[in-house]
Amino acid sequence: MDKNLLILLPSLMVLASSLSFIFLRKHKKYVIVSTIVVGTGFFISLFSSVNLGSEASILYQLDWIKLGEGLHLDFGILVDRLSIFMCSLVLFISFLVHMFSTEYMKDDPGKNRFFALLGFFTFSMLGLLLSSNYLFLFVFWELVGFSSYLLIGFWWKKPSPIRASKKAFLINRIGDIGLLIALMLIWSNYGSFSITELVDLRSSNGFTVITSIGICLLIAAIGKSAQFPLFNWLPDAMEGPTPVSALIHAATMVAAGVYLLVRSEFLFSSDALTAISVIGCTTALLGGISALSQYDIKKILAYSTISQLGYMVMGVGLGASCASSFHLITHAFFKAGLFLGAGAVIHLLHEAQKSSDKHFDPQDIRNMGGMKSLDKTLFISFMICSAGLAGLPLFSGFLSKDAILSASLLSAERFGGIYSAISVIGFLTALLTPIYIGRLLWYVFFKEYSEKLLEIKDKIISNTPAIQLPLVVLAFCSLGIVFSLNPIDYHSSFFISWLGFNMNSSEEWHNLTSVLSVVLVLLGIFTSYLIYQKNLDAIKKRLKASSFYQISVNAFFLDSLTHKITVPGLLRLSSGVKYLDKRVIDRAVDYLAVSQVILAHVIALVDYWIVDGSIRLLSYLSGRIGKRFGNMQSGNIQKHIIWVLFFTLLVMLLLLS
Amino acid sequence: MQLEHFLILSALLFAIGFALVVTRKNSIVVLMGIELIFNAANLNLIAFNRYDPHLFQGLAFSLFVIVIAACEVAIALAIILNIYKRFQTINLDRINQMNG
Repeated sequence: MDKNLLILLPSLMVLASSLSFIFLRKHKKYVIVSTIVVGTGFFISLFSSVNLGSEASILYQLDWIKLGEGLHLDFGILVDRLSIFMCSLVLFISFLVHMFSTEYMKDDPGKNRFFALLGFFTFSMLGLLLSSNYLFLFVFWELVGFSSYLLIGFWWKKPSPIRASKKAFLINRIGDIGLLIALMLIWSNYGSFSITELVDLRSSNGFTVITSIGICLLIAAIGKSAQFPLFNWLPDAMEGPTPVSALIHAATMVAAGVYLLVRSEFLFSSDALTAISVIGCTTALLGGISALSQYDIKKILAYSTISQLGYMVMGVGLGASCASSFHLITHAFFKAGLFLGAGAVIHLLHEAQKSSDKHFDPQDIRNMGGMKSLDKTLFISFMICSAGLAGLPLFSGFLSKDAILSASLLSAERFGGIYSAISVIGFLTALLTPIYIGRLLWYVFFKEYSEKLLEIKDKIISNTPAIQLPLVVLAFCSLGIVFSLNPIDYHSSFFISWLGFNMNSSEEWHNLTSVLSVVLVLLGIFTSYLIYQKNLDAIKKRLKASSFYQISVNAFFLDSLTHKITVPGLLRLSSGVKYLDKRVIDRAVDYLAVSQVILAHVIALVDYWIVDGSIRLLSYLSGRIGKRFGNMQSGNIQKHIIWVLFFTLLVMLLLLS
Repeated sequence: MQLEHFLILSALLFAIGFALVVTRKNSIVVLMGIELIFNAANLNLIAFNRYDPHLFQGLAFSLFVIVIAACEVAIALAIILNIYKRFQTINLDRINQMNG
């Protein structure tokens, strides 16, 4: 047994602990045990990633289906540094989320189910990361979507989570169709699903085929990673429990799309890459703008995730998939930290509300304020994670964002045209990020206490270690020093060199990017300081009146646009289908039934008169004949004699004639 | 006297005998009918004897028939006696033991 196969162990453990829910529905220790299982899984995968040899990638596969010459499918796992590192990351975040949830969900009656679903979600993502071929990747891709559906709709007694989960599932479906079509194209053109085989095969086909495969994969990523036309499910997915949001945003769900793009990098033609980067930068900008004016703390973070995912996709499109996966990982840490921090804030308010019998929306940032003095640990870790998100130097977000932005500058220099616009938009988003996160921080931590918070302020008690520990760990992981010894230069990041990527950006672009992004971040922070801390009411009022605000708060009206486009059409379609059903199918069924009854009657008549009738005739005849001839042997001797005479005469007649 | 006259007489005798056999319920009368049939046959034998070159075979046969008929009557009467002993009747309808 190869020691690299050890990486399979965590996923199997997580799956087993998740499935054991069926037998342990009510067990009190289930929560703890599943947390420990995920934690152990993390250490195992960390161990195996440290132990991983120098080989680029290792493939284990077992035959699954073998049909003739061309057709064979394998079970397989692909172990390379990217997949194994992503496994560790997913298990790490999942472990912290589990730990956080032991406290956050402690009063929920369905917490065992919650942990089972978390485990299943983690397992699906691990399967997706380790799949060596697109077919299994697709299977786990669907499982990820399915388990996210279950988790978003976890509080199934309320209508809005159910709606959100359905929305997420249906919108993801569009992306799934993209992946399915990509799969078909890959199969029909190359006859193989294996990622490693496809690397060698890719050049053997025409340009349009490759481009259409790339576009289909892009559609898949658009659905899963909440990119531009299909991002509106992600803010709605905030209806799920907050730890789930952390998991979805940081490691499992939305990372899947980016991972797919990074894995399939070799399949993209230059046109597909352009499409990818355009989609990415559009999403980054739209997400950033939409995050500016939300009031739900989780929605701000959701839109910021969309924006950051846009960065990642843009990075893939710019040919810097290394930078993208780097940003995926740094983002996973600080975004998980931010979500768990938001969860901690909500949890604090929720607990205080319960003990004081006051009720207001604990997710609305207008109801917060002054939290910095209420929970120091929470405040500091949230600040660090925010700094990571904003891309302040010395923090992790700076490094990875820098990598993507310098790649964009390089592309702009090389190709010009649309790439210059992409680069500009990238930098613009870098300006937006500190503004919205600064606004969030101001509302939650720096503002004076809101009236509603003032009422329950005395009841607020600091969070328990189960909540604080994950926050502190994630805040630590958002420091730049964790990823690179020189925390303002990503080139020295040991992470990038360990993954074996070569960054193709030049030194000067990097310097320019660093300077530019530092300036932009400071500018952003300054803007948000001006607007919110200085409380310039005039500016605020004017901003609120502007159409820009409307656009931002409604996220570019994408929701209502989708609604306007799809719903009337769907309604018309469904009423048409109803009409068809009623007039054609029901009618046909009716007539079929009627004709069957008629046929049955005809058959009954035939049966009665022809089949039964012939039988009855036969029996009647044989009865009559029997009666007639039975008389011959009545025992009456004189009759016998008459018959004897009769037949003797008959025989004589026959003989003589 | 033509041959036809004999044959018609014998046919009549046979018919009367057969009618007795078939219609009468009394066994004794039936036996008498049988005797008539025998005699019809005898009459035929004697009538056809005219065509025998030796004028003899028909007569011999009819003698045999008379003898056998006498024996047969003896046996038949004994049977009827036994029937009477057994069923207390000689009515042919009453002695039917089959369920026809």
